[in-house]
Amino acid sequence: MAPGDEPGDPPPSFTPSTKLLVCTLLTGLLLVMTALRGGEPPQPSAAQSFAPSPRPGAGSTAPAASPSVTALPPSVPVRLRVPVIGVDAPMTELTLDETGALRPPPADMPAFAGWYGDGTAPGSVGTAVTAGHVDTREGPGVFYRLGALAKGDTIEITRADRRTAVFTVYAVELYAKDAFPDEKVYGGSDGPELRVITCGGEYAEGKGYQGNVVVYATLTAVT
Amino acid sequence: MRTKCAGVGIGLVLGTVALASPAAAATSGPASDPDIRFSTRHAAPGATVSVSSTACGSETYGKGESEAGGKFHLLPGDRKGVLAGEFRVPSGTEAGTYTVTLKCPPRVKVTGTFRVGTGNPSGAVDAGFGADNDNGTQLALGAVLLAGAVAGGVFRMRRRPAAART
Repeated sequence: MAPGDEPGDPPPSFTPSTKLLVCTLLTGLLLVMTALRGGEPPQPSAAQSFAPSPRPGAGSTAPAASPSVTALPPSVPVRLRVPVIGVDAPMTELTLDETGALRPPPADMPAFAGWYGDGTAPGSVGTAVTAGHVDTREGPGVFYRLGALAKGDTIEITRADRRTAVFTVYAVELYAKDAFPDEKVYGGSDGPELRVITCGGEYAEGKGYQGNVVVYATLTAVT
Repeated sequence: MRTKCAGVGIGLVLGTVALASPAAAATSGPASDPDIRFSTRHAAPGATVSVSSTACGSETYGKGESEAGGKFHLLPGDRKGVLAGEFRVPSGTEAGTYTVTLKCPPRVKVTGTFRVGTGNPSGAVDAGFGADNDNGTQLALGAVLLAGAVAGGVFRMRRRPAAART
Protein backbone atom coordinates (compact mmCIF):
# COMPACT_ATOMS: atom_id res chain seq x y z
CA MET A 1 0.00 0.00 0.00
CA ALA A 2 1.27 3.40 -0.91
CA PRO A 3 1.49 6.01 1.83
CA GLY A 4 -1.51 8.27 2.02
CA ASP A 5 -4.05 5.57 1.06
CA GLU A 6 -7.03 5.30 3.38
CA PRO A 7 -7.40 1.89 5.01
CA GLY A 8 -10.98 1.64 3.71
CA ASP A 9 -10.09 2.11 0.01
CA PRO A 10 -11.18 -0.73 -2.26
CA PRO A 11 -8.25 -2.28 -4.17
CA PRO A 12 -7.57 -0.38 -7.44
CA SER A 13 -8.16 -3.45 -9.63
CA PHE A 14 -11.88 -3.22 -8.78
CA THR A 15 -12.41 -0.16 -10.99
CA PRO A 16 -14.77 -1.15 -13.77
CA SER A 17 -13.28 -0.85 -17.22
CA THR A 18 -14.82 1.33 -19.91
CA LYS A 19 -15.58 -1.77 -21.95
CA LEU A 20 -17.56 -3.33 -19.11
CA LEU A 21 -19.49 -0.16 -18.49
CA VAL A 22 -20.39 0.28 -22.13
CA CYS A 23 -21.51 -3.35 -22.44
CA THR A 24 -23.63 -3.06 -19.33
CA LEU A 25 -25.14 0.17 -20.51
CA LEU A 26 -26.00 -1.16 -23.97
CA THR A 27 -27.44 -4.42 -22.63
CA GLY A 28 -29.53 -2.57 -20.08
CA LEU A 29 -30.76 -0.18 -22.75
CA LEU A 30 -31.67 -3.02 -25.10
CA LEU A 31 -33.59 -4.90 -22.41
CA VAL A 32 -35.50 -1.84 -21.31
CA MET A 33 -36.40 -0.83 -24.85
CA THR A 34 -37.64 -4.23 -25.98
CA ALA A 35 -39.56 -4.70 -22.74
CA LEU A 36 -41.28 -1.38 -23.16
CA ARG A 37 -42.26 -2.11 -26.76
CA GLY A 38 -44.53 -4.87 -25.44
CA GLY A 39 -45.43 -8.27 -26.91
CA GLU A 40 -48.98 -8.16 -28.16
CA PRO A 41 -49.99 -9.94 -31.37
CA PRO A 42 -51.03 -7.49 -34.13
CA GLN A 43 -54.78 -6.99 -34.54
CA PRO A 44 -56.69 -6.25 -37.75
CA SER A 45 -57.42 -2.62 -38.47
CA ALA A 46 -60.86 -1.40 -39.46
CA ALA A 47 -59.63 -1.02 -43.04
CA GLN A 48 -59.43 -4.81 -43.36
CA SER A 49 -63.01 -5.54 -42.43
CA PHE A 50 -65.75 -6.09 -44.99
CA ALA A 51 -66.58 -2.90 -46.80
CA PRO A 52 -70.04 -1.74 -45.79
CA SER A 53 -72.16 -2.49 -48.82
CA PRO A 54 -73.33 0.61 -50.70
CA ARG A 55 -76.27 -1.38 -52.07
CA PRO A 56 -78.72 -2.39 -49.38
CA GLY A 57 -79.46 -6.07 -49.34
CA ALA A 58 -76.37 -6.93 -51.36
CA GLY A 59 -75.69 -10.62 -51.12
CA SER A 60 -72.96 -12.81 -49.72
CA THR A 61 -69.72 -11.67 -48.19
CA ALA A 62 -67.51 -13.45 -50.71
CA PRO A 63 -66.27 -11.58 -53.76
CA ALA A 64 -67.43 -12.81 -57.16
CA ALA A 65 -65.61 -16.02 -57.99
CA SER A 66 -62.53 -15.55 -60.12
CA PRO A 67 -63.54 -17.17 -63.42
CA SER A 68 -59.98 -18.13 -64.33
CA VAL A 69 -59.60 -20.53 -61.44
CA THR A 70 -61.36 -23.86 -61.20
CA ALA A 71 -61.85 -25.41 -57.81
CA LEU A 72 -59.78 -28.51 -57.11
CA PRO A 73 -60.91 -32.00 -56.15
CA PRO A 74 -60.41 -32.76 -52.45
CA SER A 75 -56.89 -33.54 -51.25
CA VAL A 76 -55.32 -33.46 -47.79
CA PRO A 77 -53.50 -30.17 -47.15
CA VAL A 78 -49.95 -30.64 -45.89
CA ARG A 79 -48.32 -27.20 -45.75
CA LEU A 80 -49.60 -23.69 -45.17
CA ARG A 81 -47.59 -20.62 -46.11
CA VAL A 82 -48.31 -16.95 -45.62
CA PRO A 83 -45.27 -15.23 -47.16
CA VAL A 84 -46.06 -11.68 -46.03
CA ILE A 85 -45.97 -12.66 -42.33
CA GLY A 86 -43.35 -15.37 -42.62
CA VAL A 87 -45.58 -18.35 -41.88
CA ASP A 88 -44.48 -21.74 -43.25
CA ALA A 89 -46.18 -24.46 -41.27
CA PRO A 90 -46.97 -28.16 -41.46
CA MET A 91 -50.66 -28.99 -41.20
CA THR A 92 -52.64 -31.29 -38.97
CA GLU A 93 -56.24 -32.41 -38.94
CA LEU A 94 -58.67 -30.95 -36.44
CA THR A 95 -61.89 -32.33 -35.00
CA LEU A 96 -64.93 -30.95 -33.22
CA ASP A 97 -65.39 -31.25 -29.48
CA GLU A 98 -68.57 -32.30 -27.69
CA THR A 99 -70.16 -28.89 -28.12
CA GLY A 100 -69.37 -28.73 -31.83
CA ALA A 101 -66.55 -26.25 -31.40
CA LEU A 102 -63.42 -26.69 -33.48
CA ARG A 103 -60.55 -28.09 -31.43
CA PRO A 104 -57.30 -26.21 -32.09
CA PRO A 105 -54.04 -28.11 -32.65
CA PRO A 106 -52.68 -29.69 -29.45
CA ALA A 107 -50.91 -27.30 -27.09
CA ASP A 108 -47.60 -29.06 -27.74
CA MET A 109 -47.86 -28.39 -31.49
CA PRO A 110 -48.01 -24.58 -31.56
CA ALA A 111 -46.13 -24.43 -34.86
CA PHE A 112 -48.76 -26.46 -36.71
CA ALA A 113 -51.68 -25.06 -38.66
CA GLY A 114 -54.79 -27.17 -38.36
CA TRP A 115 -57.66 -27.73 -40.79
CA TYR A 116 -61.14 -29.04 -40.11
CA GLY A 117 -60.83 -32.56 -41.49
CA ASP A 118 -64.55 -33.29 -41.75
CA GLY A 119 -65.15 -30.13 -43.72
CA THR A 120 -64.08 -28.83 -47.09
CA ALA A 121 -60.50 -29.49 -48.12
CA PRO A 122 -58.70 -26.23 -48.94
CA GLY A 123 -58.96 -25.64 -52.67
CA SER A 124 -62.25 -27.45 -53.14
CA VAL A 125 -65.68 -25.89 -53.42
CA GLY A 126 -67.01 -24.89 -50.02
CA THR A 127 -65.67 -23.22 -46.92
CA ALA A 128 -62.35 -24.73 -45.79
CA VAL A 129 -61.59 -23.91 -42.17
CA THR A 130 -58.08 -23.63 -40.74
CA ALA A 131 -57.00 -22.61 -37.26
CA GLY A 132 -53.80 -22.28 -35.25
CA HIS A 133 -52.46 -20.84 -32.03
CA VAL A 134 -51.59 -17.18 -31.72
CA ASP A 135 -49.28 -18.02 -28.83
CA THR A 136 -48.51 -20.44 -26.04
CA ARG A 137 -47.26 -19.84 -22.52
CA GLU A 138 -43.72 -19.88 -23.89
CA GLY A 139 -44.05 -17.50 -26.80
CA PRO A 140 -45.56 -16.83 -30.25
CA GLY A 141 -47.50 -19.53 -32.07
CA VAL A 142 -47.86 -20.21 -35.78
CA PHE A 143 -50.46 -17.45 -36.29
CA TYR A 144 -48.96 -14.82 -34.02
CA ARG A 145 -48.98 -12.26 -36.82
CA LEU A 146 -52.22 -13.33 -38.52
CA GLY A 147 -53.91 -10.10 -37.42
CA ALA A 148 -51.44 -8.14 -39.54
CA LEU A 149 -52.79 -9.54 -42.82
CA ALA A 150 -54.37 -7.12 -45.24
CA LYS A 151 -56.68 -7.39 -48.23
CA GLY A 152 -54.74 -8.68 -51.20
CA ASP A 153 -52.24 -10.77 -49.19
CA THR A 154 -51.93 -14.38 -50.24
CA ILE A 155 -52.12 -17.67 -48.40
CA GLU A 156 -50.73 -20.78 -50.06
CA ILE A 157 -51.74 -24.28 -49.14
CA THR A 158 -49.89 -27.20 -50.63
CA ARG A 159 -51.83 -30.43 -50.77
CA ALA A 160 -50.95 -34.10 -50.86
CA ASP A 161 -51.60 -34.09 -54.62
CA ARG A 162 -48.64 -31.68 -54.86
CA ARG A 163 -50.79 -28.83 -56.10
CA THR A 164 -50.72 -25.52 -54.28
CA ALA A 165 -53.92 -23.60 -53.80
CA VAL A 166 -53.33 -19.87 -53.62
CA PHE A 167 -55.95 -17.82 -51.77
CA THR A 168 -56.24 -14.05 -51.71
CA VAL A 169 -57.41 -12.31 -48.55
CA TYR A 170 -60.49 -10.13 -48.92
CA ALA A 171 -61.30 -9.42 -45.29
CA VAL A 172 -59.86 -9.76 -41.78
CA GLU A 173 -62.17 -9.28 -38.84
CA LEU A 174 -62.09 -9.62 -35.07
CA TYR A 175 -65.06 -11.16 -33.27
CA ALA A 176 -65.84 -11.49 -29.59
CA LYS A 177 -65.85 -15.18 -28.64
CA ASP A 178 -69.19 -14.87 -26.91
CA ALA A 179 -70.82 -13.37 -30.01
CA PHE A 180 -69.26 -15.50 -32.71
CA PRO A 181 -71.02 -15.30 -36.10
CA ASP A 182 -71.16 -19.01 -36.97
CA GLU A 183 -72.95 -18.68 -40.28
CA LYS A 184 -70.74 -15.88 -41.53
CA VAL A 185 -67.51 -17.72 -40.69
CA TYR A 186 -68.38 -21.39 -41.22
CA GLY A 187 -71.38 -21.15 -43.53
CA GLY A 188 -71.11 -22.90 -46.86
CA SER A 189 -69.87 -21.21 -49.99
CA ASP A 190 -70.54 -21.73 -53.68
CA GLY A 191 -66.91 -21.28 -54.50
CA PRO A 192 -63.57 -22.43 -53.04
CA GLU A 193 -63.22 -20.39 -49.86
CA LEU A 194 -60.82 -20.36 -46.93
CA ARG A 195 -61.07 -19.20 -43.35
CA VAL A 196 -58.04 -18.84 -41.09
CA ILE A 197 -58.78 -18.45 -37.38
CA THR A 198 -56.71 -17.66 -34.31
CA CYS A 199 -57.21 -15.96 -30.96
CA GLY A 200 -57.13 -12.19 -30.66
CA GLY A 201 -58.57 -9.16 -28.99
CA GLU A 202 -58.18 -8.36 -25.32
CA TYR A 203 -56.33 -10.84 -23.17
CA ALA A 204 -57.86 -11.24 -19.72
CA GLU A 205 -55.53 -12.78 -17.14
CA GLY A 206 -57.01 -16.10 -16.07
CA LYS A 207 -59.65 -16.06 -18.79
CA GLY A 208 -57.62 -15.88 -21.96
CA TYR A 209 -58.16 -14.08 -25.21
CA GLN A 210 -61.63 -12.62 -25.57
CA GLY A 211 -61.87 -12.83 -29.33
CA ASN A 212 -60.97 -14.56 -32.56
CA VAL A 213 -59.24 -13.07 -35.57
CA VAL A 214 -60.82 -14.51 -38.74
CA VAL A 215 -59.21 -14.13 -42.17
CA TYR A 216 -61.46 -14.57 -45.20
CA ALA A 217 -59.80 -15.61 -48.46
CA THR A 218 -60.87 -17.04 -51.79
CA LEU A 219 -59.04 -19.27 -54.27
CA THR A 220 -57.40 -17.17 -56.97
CA ALA A 221 -54.70 -19.42 -58.42
CA VAL A 222 -53.43 -22.99 -58.51
CA THR A 223 -49.75 -23.72 -58.97
CA MET B 1 -69.81 -66.45 25.90
CA ARG B 2 -67.81 -67.64 22.90
CA THR B 3 -70.95 -68.99 21.20
CA LYS B 4 -72.63 -65.62 21.54
CA CYS B 5 -69.63 -63.89 19.96
CA ALA B 6 -69.56 -66.41 17.18
CA GLY B 7 -73.26 -65.89 16.68
CA VAL B 8 -72.83 -62.14 16.47
CA GLY B 9 -69.93 -62.61 14.09
CA ILE B 10 -71.91 -64.88 11.80
CA GLY B 11 -74.85 -62.51 11.99
CA LEU B 12 -72.62 -59.62 10.91
CA VAL B 13 -71.23 -61.57 7.97
CA LEU B 14 -74.68 -62.67 6.83
CA GLY B 15 -75.98 -59.13 7.23
CA THR B 16 -73.20 -57.75 5.05
CA VAL B 17 -73.90 -60.27 2.33
CA ALA B 18 -77.60 -59.51 2.50
CA LEU B 19 -76.88 -55.81 2.17
CA ALA B 20 -74.60 -56.33 -0.79
CA SER B 21 -77.13 -58.09 -3.03
CA PRO B 22 -79.80 -55.38 -3.15
CA ALA B 23 -77.01 -52.89 -3.89
CA ALA B 24 -75.94 -54.96 -6.87
CA ALA B 25 -79.52 -55.18 -8.09
CA ALA B 26 -79.97 -51.42 -7.77
CA THR B 27 -77.31 -50.62 -10.40
CA SER B 28 -79.23 -52.51 -13.05
CA GLY B 29 -82.17 -50.13 -12.80
CA PRO B 30 -82.60 -47.17 -15.12
CA ALA B 31 -79.20 -45.53 -15.01
CA SER B 32 -78.07 -42.09 -16.13
CA ASP B 33 -75.50 -41.11 -18.69
CA PRO B 34 -72.35 -42.47 -17.01
CA ASP B 35 -73.38 -46.01 -17.96
CA ILE B 36 -73.57 -45.30 -21.67
CA ARG B 37 -70.63 -44.13 -23.71
CA PHE B 38 -70.72 -42.48 -27.13
CA SER B 39 -67.93 -42.32 -29.69
CA THR B 40 -68.99 -38.74 -30.20
CA ARG B 41 -71.58 -36.63 -28.49
CA HIS B 42 -71.78 -34.23 -31.39
CA ALA B 43 -72.43 -35.94 -34.68
CA ALA B 44 -72.97 -34.59 -38.14
CA PRO B 45 -75.81 -35.88 -40.30
CA GLY B 46 -74.57 -38.97 -42.12
CA ALA B 47 -72.05 -39.83 -39.41
CA THR B 48 -71.89 -43.18 -37.64
CA VAL B 49 -72.05 -43.12 -33.88
CA SER B 50 -70.81 -46.01 -31.72
CA VAL B 51 -72.33 -46.66 -28.33
CA SER B 52 -71.16 -48.92 -25.53
CA SER B 53 -72.37 -49.75 -22.06
CA THR B 54 -71.49 -51.83 -19.03
CA ALA B 55 -75.03 -51.69 -17.71
CA CYS B 56 -75.86 -55.14 -19.08
CA GLY B 57 -73.40 -56.90 -16.83
CA SER B 58 -72.64 -60.38 -18.06
CA GLU B 59 -75.40 -60.41 -20.69
CA THR B 60 -74.21 -60.97 -24.25
CA TYR B 61 -76.98 -59.31 -26.17
CA GLY B 62 -78.94 -56.10 -25.98
CA LYS B 63 -81.00 -53.80 -28.16
CA GLY B 64 -80.44 -50.18 -28.85
CA GLU B 65 -82.66 -47.56 -30.36
CA SER B 66 -81.68 -44.08 -31.40
CA GLU B 67 -84.18 -41.31 -31.99
CA ALA B 68 -81.98 -40.36 -34.92
CA GLY B 69 -80.72 -43.60 -36.46
CA GLY B 70 -83.21 -46.28 -35.56
CA LYS B 71 -82.68 -49.69 -34.02
CA PHE B 72 -79.38 -51.47 -33.64
CA HIS B 73 -77.92 -54.49 -31.89
CA LEU B 74 -75.71 -54.51 -28.84
CA LEU B 75 -73.10 -57.22 -28.99
CA PRO B 76 -70.12 -58.07 -26.79
CA GLY B 77 -67.39 -55.48 -27.18
CA ASP B 78 -63.66 -56.03 -26.86
CA ARG B 79 -63.81 -55.94 -23.08
CA LYS B 80 -65.67 -58.24 -20.72
CA GLY B 81 -68.93 -56.83 -19.49
CA VAL B 82 -69.20 -54.29 -22.28
CA LEU B 83 -71.85 -54.39 -24.97
CA ALA B 84 -71.47 -52.15 -28.00
CA GLY B 85 -73.36 -51.19 -31.11
CA GLU B 86 -73.54 -48.45 -33.71
CA PHE B 87 -76.03 -46.51 -35.74
CA ARG B 88 -75.90 -44.01 -38.53
CA VAL B 89 -77.40 -40.55 -38.23
CA PRO B 90 -79.44 -40.12 -41.42
CA SER B 91 -78.30 -37.30 -43.68
CA GLY B 92 -80.76 -34.49 -43.42
CA THR B 93 -81.35 -35.04 -39.72
CA GLU B 94 -82.13 -31.71 -38.19
CA ALA B 95 -79.74 -30.28 -35.66
CA GLY B 96 -80.84 -30.99 -32.11
CA THR B 97 -80.53 -33.31 -29.11
CA TYR B 98 -81.54 -36.94 -29.54
CA THR B 99 -81.99 -39.81 -27.08
CA VAL B 100 -80.53 -43.29 -27.36
CA THR B 101 -82.09 -46.10 -25.34
CA LEU B 102 -80.30 -49.37 -24.57
CA LYS B 103 -82.11 -52.41 -23.25
CA CYS B 104 -80.90 -55.82 -22.11
CA PRO B 105 -82.31 -58.67 -20.01
CA PRO B 106 -83.68 -58.98 -17.43
CA ARG B 107 -85.08 -55.46 -17.34
CA VAL B 108 -82.14 -53.15 -17.80
CA LYS B 109 -82.78 -49.88 -19.57
CA VAL B 110 -80.22 -47.12 -20.03
CA THR B 111 -80.67 -43.82 -21.84
CA GLY B 112 -78.23 -41.23 -23.05
CA THR B 113 -78.36 -38.19 -25.27
CA PHE B 114 -76.18 -36.84 -28.03
CA ARG B 115 -76.40 -33.87 -30.34
CA VAL B 116 -76.68 -33.68 -34.08
CA GLY B 117 -75.10 -30.57 -35.51
CA THR B 118 -74.93 -29.02 -38.92
CA GLY B 119 -71.64 -30.75 -39.61
CA ASN B 120 -69.88 -27.41 -39.51
CA PRO B 121 -67.97 -26.17 -36.49
CA SER B 122 -69.82 -23.76 -34.26
CA GLY B 123 -68.55 -21.14 -31.91
CA ALA B 124 -65.19 -19.57 -31.32
CA VAL B 125 -61.84 -21.38 -31.36
CA ASP B 126 -59.64 -21.56 -28.26
CA ALA B 127 -56.37 -20.88 -29.97
CA GLY B 128 -54.15 -18.93 -27.62
CA PHE B 129 -52.74 -19.06 -24.13
CA GLY B 130 -51.32 -15.60 -23.57
CA ALA B 131 -47.53 -15.76 -23.72
CA ASP B 132 -45.82 -14.97 -20.44
CA ASN B 133 -44.07 -11.97 -21.87
CA ASP B 134 -42.16 -11.50 -18.66
CA ASN B 135 -41.77 -7.88 -19.59
CA GLY B 136 -41.74 -6.89 -15.94
CA THR B 137 -38.71 -8.99 -15.13
CA GLN B 138 -36.95 -7.93 -18.30
CA LEU B 139 -37.67 -4.30 -17.60
CA ALA B 140 -36.39 -4.61 -14.03
CA LEU B 141 -33.24 -6.39 -15.17
CA GLY B 142 -32.59 -3.79 -17.83
CA ALA B 143 -33.11 -0.99 -15.32
CA VAL B 144 -30.68 -2.62 -12.88
CA LEU B 145 -28.03 -2.92 -15.58
CA LEU B 146 -28.52 0.69 -16.64
CA ALA B 147 -28.30 1.84 -13.04
CA GLY B 148 -25.23 -0.32 -12.58
CA ALA B 149 -23.58 1.18 -15.66
CA VAL B 150 -24.31 4.70 -14.49
CA ALA B 151 -23.09 3.96 -10.98
CA GLY B 152 -19.96 2.35 -12.39
CA GLY B 153 -19.33 5.43 -14.52
CA VAL B 154 -19.76 7.75 -11.56
CA PHE B 155 -17.51 5.50 -9.48
CA ARG B 156 -14.79 5.67 -12.14
CA MET B 157 -15.05 9.43 -12.41
CA ARG B 158 -14.70 9.82 -8.66
CA ARG B 159 -11.73 7.45 -8.50
CA ARG B 160 -9.78 9.21 -11.25
CA PRO B 161 -9.15 12.40 -9.25
CA ALA B 162 -8.19 10.22 -6.23
CA ALA B 163 -5.74 8.18 -8.34
CA ALA B 164 -4.33 11.33 -9.84
CA ARG B 165 -3.52 12.50 -6.31
CA THR B 166 -1.10 9.62 -5.65
